[in-house]
Amino acid sequence: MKLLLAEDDAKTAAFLRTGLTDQGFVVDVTSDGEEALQLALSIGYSVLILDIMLPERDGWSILAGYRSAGGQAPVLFLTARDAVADRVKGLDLGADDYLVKPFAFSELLARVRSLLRRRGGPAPERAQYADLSLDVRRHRAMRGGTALELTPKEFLLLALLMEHQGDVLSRTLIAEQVWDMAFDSDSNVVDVHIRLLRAKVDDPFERKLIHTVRGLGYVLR
Amino acid sequence: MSSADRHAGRQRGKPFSLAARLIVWFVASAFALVLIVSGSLYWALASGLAQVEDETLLDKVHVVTSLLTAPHPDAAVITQEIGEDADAPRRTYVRLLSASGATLQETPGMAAELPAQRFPRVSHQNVSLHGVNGRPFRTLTRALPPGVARASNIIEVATDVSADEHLLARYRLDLGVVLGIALIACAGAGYQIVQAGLRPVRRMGRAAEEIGASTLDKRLEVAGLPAELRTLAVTFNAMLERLQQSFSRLRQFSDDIAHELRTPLNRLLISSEVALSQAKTLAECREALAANIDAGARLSQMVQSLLFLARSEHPAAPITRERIELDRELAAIEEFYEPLASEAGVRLSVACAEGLAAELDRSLLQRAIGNLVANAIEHTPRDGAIRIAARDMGRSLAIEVADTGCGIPADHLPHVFDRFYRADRTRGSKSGNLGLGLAIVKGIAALHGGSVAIESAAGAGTAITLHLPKQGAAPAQASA
Repeated sequence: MKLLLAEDDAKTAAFLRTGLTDQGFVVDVTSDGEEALQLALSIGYSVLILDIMLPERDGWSILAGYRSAGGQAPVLFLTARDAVADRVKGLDLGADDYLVKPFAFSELLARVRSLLRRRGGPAPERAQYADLSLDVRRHRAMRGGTALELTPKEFLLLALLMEHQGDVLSRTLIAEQVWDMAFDSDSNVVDVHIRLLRAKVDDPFERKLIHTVRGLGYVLR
Repeated sequence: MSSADRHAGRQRGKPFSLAARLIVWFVASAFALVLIVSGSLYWALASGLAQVEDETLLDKVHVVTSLLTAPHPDAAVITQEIGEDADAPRRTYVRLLSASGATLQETPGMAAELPAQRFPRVSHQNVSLHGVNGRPFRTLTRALPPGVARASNIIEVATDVSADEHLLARYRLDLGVVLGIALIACAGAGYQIVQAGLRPVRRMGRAAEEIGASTLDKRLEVAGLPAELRTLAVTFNAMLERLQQSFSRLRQFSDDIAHELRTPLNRLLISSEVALSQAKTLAECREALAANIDAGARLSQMVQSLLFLARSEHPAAPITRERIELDRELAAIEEFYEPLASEAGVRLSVACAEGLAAELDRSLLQRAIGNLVANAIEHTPRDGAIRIAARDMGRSLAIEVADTGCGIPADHLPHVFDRFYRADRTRGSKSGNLGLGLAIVKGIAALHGGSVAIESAAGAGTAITLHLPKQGAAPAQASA
């Protein structure tokens, strides 16, 4: 999996490259917009991660050039500005997702994985991790031969964790994906939902699958 | 030179202080009055004198005429009458002329002083003229009735008015002196009156000059001001009051930002420093990093909130409206917050008419209602209830979040939508509450062109209502 990262802040770029490389990605980094477009068009990247503010050519212009040249890879924007107009502009130009700085690395990782999966076709109908199995179509969850009584949202939450098994998911991402709450809620609502889910998925069993990563969010592993 | 400078220059070029203008007007009108009075007095004197002279002339004409038309005219009496006053310094001259214009008889010396050709033709008008030696005369020329003695046809009378002229000349001189004095007196009085009149204005100006950003608590003295200025001073004081409030809010706001930033920054620095110098194990390092992320997340969230608030104050800030079905949206929010509420032992319910819809920014609406619900859960004790209700108000809709919580004391109510305002300052930060939630709700209402209202009774609960127009303003209105 080859990623292009266009980011003009050297430290941010270095951290992101280290983090993504550790996760098994091959990452090309550039700080120049013009070069980013050339690279994107000449190498078949799986995902483009573009900062909007870049020298020579801004993120929007790279995206426009890339799409008009027939580039198909999903594009994730990084922006320091969360002004609605900016977002709308990016999505209109064919961006697939955006992240507002400052963001957590786990958030970026989860979004990149989502983009890759989206391109990879429909989600699998069944998911399995350890002794936990999900039947996505029937909304049924089993653990160790016992059926779990989950509400629809609890099932969605568990499915999300399963889909991203091993990745830490932030509270914001969880609220957005499961409840469609597109805002950064500063209350601990997601924690309560996770607690309720744990009561059903983990509490009756010896091995705990849902883990809290302090400061970041939750992970199934 | 910038346009502002030019403008100021033009203002400066516009002459005359208020005082100068008042003085000029005062002096001009007072002097005009004095001028009119003295002019009419002069005119009355001059015309009075002329009338006396004219009566003398007419009298003479009548006397001579009646002597001439007597049945038996006495030549000696006529001669005496004509020569009368011949020796007095103020002389009246009489001349009788034939139809052909030849002099029949005249007062001695008259030919030298007033030759016949100087006289005007027969008329009923008195005429002023100057004699051969330059003496001023008043004259009258009359035709005599036909058939009078000695075939006299025309009578000419004249009287010397040089004494009158002297009197008037003297009077004019006196008037000139009086007018000069009056002018100076008017100017002096005007200056004094205007200065005295404007003194309160100057005093006010000086008092206002002393008021600056650091002395906004000063007020203008209203007592003792004239009525016109009192209104101005009261208005000015009201403006100062508003300025002072804005200033202190702003100061409070920046103090609060500094304070709120300092706490997580401090945590960040200390945990990093301790980890760097003392941590021995990987677990300790992880612990420090996790603490750093917590602090960083808190900072980041605060900055985002403040940016959001700053943007929401911009009237033209764009929002993306989409059609929202309120019953579904509110049900989703209820579903999201339900576990939090039931964990707090609070019943959460939604009341919304089916089919109620509006064009709103979805994520902003979620954020506003979410903030209100989270706030309500935090402040409602066990066994309480929270009700989210949406009502159709015609062109707008009202979304109310009401709780049975502890309520907010009346003196806090006007401030709860201020940034960083927490009714209980010591308790707020424990739950990670920055005191920005309600400010953001207000900002969201403003972005939609709506408003937010709060009702609360201590101990009985709080109800906060969002009033949002169902549709955005037309583009033309929005850009105006």
